[in-house]
Amino acid sequence: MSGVLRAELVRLRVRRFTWLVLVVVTIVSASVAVYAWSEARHPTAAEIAAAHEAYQEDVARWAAEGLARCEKTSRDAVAQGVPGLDCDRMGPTAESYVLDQPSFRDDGVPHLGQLAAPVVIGALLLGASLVTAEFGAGSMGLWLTFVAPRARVFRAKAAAAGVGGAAVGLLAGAVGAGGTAIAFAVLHRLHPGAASAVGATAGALGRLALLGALAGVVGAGLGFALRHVAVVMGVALWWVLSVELVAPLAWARAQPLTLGLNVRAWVDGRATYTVQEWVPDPTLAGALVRGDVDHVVGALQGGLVLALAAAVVTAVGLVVFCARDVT
Amino acid sequence: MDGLAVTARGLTKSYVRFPLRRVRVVRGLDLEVPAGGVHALLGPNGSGKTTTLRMLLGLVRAEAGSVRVLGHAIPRELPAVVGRIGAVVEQPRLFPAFSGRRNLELLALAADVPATRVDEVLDEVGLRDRDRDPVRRYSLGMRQRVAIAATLLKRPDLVVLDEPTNGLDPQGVHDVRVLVRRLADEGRTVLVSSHALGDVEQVADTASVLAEGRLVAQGSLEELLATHGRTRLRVRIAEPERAAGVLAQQGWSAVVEDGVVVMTDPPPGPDVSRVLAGVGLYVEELTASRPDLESAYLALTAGSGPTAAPVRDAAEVAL
Repeated sequence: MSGVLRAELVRLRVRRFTWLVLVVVTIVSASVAVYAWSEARHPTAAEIAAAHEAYQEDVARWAAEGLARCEKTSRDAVAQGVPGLDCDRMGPTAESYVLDQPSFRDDGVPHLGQLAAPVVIGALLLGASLVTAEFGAGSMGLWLTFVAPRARVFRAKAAAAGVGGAAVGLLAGAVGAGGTAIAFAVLHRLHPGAASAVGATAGALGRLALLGALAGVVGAGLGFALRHVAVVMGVALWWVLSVELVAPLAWARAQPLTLGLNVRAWVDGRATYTVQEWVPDPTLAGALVRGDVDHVVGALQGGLVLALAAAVVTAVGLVVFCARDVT
Repeated sequence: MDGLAVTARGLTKSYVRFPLRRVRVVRGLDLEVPAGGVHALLGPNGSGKTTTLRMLLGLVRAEAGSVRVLGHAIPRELPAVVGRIGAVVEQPRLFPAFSGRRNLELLALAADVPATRVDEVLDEVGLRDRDRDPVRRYSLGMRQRVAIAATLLKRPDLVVLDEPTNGLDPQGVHDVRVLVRRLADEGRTVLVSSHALGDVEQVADTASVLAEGRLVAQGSLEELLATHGRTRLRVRIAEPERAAGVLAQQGWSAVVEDGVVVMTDPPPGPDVSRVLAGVGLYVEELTASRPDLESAYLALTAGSGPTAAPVRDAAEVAL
């Protein structure tokens, strides 16, 4: 590790803003654990009583009118050549009114995907401020009289921002996963799938850490290119509004190019988006109708798109930093 | 290196100012800084001193011209020579939340300088007793000392200091002056820009004078004083305004400053006394001063500076 990178890591560690970001991310991540606990807890006596009452009401309603309506609908369908309904199986069942028995692996770990947004925002701010603070204070000039060439300074700061971003992702994941695990353990629901949950949790933490690292590097790249953290956040906001939200409305096929979808794909393992396409008409052979078609973006594709975006922003930041005067 | 630590040829630099107006701040500047000794870069505000220093350090890219520092072309060969340069440009830009020691330790780490060197440079600038205080609690003078200590970390061959005595108390000014002289006496080249002409005169060996982005004079201090320095004669008299008028009628330069008539490049004192006595004005005191840097500087930069017209030329165009 070069001296300049070590110096940057020391600076990153002792900056107050770094700790502020970590504290905020910790608080936000803890809220995920609170949410997981609320979903995993055992139902109260009042909730059980309410469920029982609702079940009784629905059984009575089904017996009074639901069954007869179902059988009429079924007869009409058969008359039109369409398969009828199995009304005996369509009545209310007690199982439907019993709350699920959530497991940590299937219901707790997926909650960690909700941390993607705070991780990206926190790491982006961390990386951007690490660089822009030096332009603002004028210390970049002092730095450059100590280390040359500029690309070396850039590499060190971008790498430090990446490390900081990874720390944000790891912390968020650890707090979220730890809190959720504690919640499930307290509720005695940790055991189902506990062994495989360790691997799933480790995978989620790793993906959040990598996401944070990329966001940190992107923040640093934007910081070098724009030099003011407010401008960086303004550009990020513009991107979200115009590219992430509006562009897919105007052109649905642009969805796989949006960073939000790829972040979800990376963190959750897959993400889907819907596009209206011409598809075969199931009722008329050879005919086409417009219909919604789901497409899947895998984790690998999401990761590659995010890495490519980070590389582009980083390259722009490097070129601007090497070309512009430092005053 | 031809005995030169710094050589600049035809340096030109413009900035874009609001609203989209290009202002040329350095115009075809030629500069030669001899190796060893203290070289002063003088000029009024806006004359291009700081921009020139920034170009020498590779922080700002020249539009035209070339720079060689310690025999290396800048900015292309900056990595090869940056370890031999220590510089503070404008105000010391330190990390305010860190202590002076922590700032120096970080810079030492970045420059691959042993940490033990931090103690040495803190001793050199006399800041050991406050080295663990946050820089934001330092006075400007203390920040200046930390910044100078930073420049010394690398044991540089060339030290570049921009207005190093700005904001310092008299003791601080004296300490910096002694430090600068000592650095030069140790064989280093010290390039210092300053408005404190009295301080410069005491420590500098050579100087360059800039006005409106151009070099107007360059050479040893003795040469500059001999060529551009002015002798002055201060005349204390009962009616200074009337006396100045009488002297001006003789074709001599005479103005009233603080109730005293000041003559530049005056005739012999007895001639002044005789002329004034002829109109019933009798001199109370005559004081002659030798040519000094201030008079040379004023002569060289007359008409430029912040009180003069803005520094613009044909290159200033609306974009």
